[in-house]
Amino acid sequence: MDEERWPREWLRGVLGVCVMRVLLDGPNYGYAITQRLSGVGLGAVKGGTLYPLLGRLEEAGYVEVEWRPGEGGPGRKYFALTAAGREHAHDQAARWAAFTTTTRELTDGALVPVAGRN
Amino acid sequence: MNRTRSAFGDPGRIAPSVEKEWRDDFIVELRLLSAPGHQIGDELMTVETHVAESGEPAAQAFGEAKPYAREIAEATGATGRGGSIGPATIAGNGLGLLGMFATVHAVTHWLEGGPAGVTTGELVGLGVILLLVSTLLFTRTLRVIVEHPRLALLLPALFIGVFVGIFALLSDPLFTVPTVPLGVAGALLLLAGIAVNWLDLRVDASEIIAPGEVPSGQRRGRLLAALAMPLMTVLLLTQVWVMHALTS
Repeated sequence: MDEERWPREWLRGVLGVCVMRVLLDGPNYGYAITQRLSGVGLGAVKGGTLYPLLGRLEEAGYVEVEWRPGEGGPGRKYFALTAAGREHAHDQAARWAAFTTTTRELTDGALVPVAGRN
Repeated sequence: MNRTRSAFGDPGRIAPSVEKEWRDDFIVELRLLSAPGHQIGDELMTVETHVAESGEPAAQAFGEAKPYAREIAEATGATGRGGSIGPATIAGNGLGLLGMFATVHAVTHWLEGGPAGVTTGELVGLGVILLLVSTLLFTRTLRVIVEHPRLALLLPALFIGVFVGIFALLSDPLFTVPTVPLGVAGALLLLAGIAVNWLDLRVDASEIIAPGEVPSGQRRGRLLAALAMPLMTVLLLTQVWVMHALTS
């Protein structure tokens, strides 16, 4: 992960929501998910971080997996949201939005130039 | 996917792009956590596809193999699902061990023309062996053996020394048993051991298979495992017979 830009603990907190958001677009495989997350600016998510998360989502019944044959390669493990997973993804996205609104109400105050404060 | 058995004869071939050391550590740790073979194959294949696509070494993409194996096993609830050495395995081998001792003891004394004398040392030694075998029920024992291979090599020599000491110090005969019933009992115990081991291995979930691959049933391996004690008994009996022929 991009520790220079985003602290590790922030990414750990938001990763589940982001991965489920990616999967809302359709079934996808591990490496492509990391590329998508990297593409939106979250930095390099390692396989060692992603797959245990996907495993937990699968164990919770939010994700189901399917191996699809590759072209001459070993094939790919596709992860897809279940009906419960889609509902959970929407719910988590809404809660994350509310969470960030709450935190921004507090932290945006830090963006006011020092000279402008009382 | 529908893969044929020949594609992955060796579990290592499931993940050819993954460094052998990392792959072996990963498999051993998942084994120690009693993850089922099909899941080990699935996780190994997942690592393989990721490594192949990203071009990163497994250690870079997944970190060290053992912590990653522990994390993935915990995340997926795989721990304990496969079972490694269960009570049936211990029972099958324990019966085989008792059968081997009884048969060899009976034949040795039958060749000498007398009843089989049983000493305190032999009974104590047998009890200690069965106790040691039963410790294999605990994963911690297996972990010690796997993680300390030098200790695992030294321990048998130490145990043999202890047993020789026990046999020598407690050599007074406690009772005698007629050789023929003892031999028959030994053979029956060996047969019971084969049956328990065979039934146990039929439900074995330890074979590492790639996703979509059908378990082979490990027919040859199963047969050898079930016949290990009887084969060792035949070997020991041959040795006893040769020694008797040479000395008489």
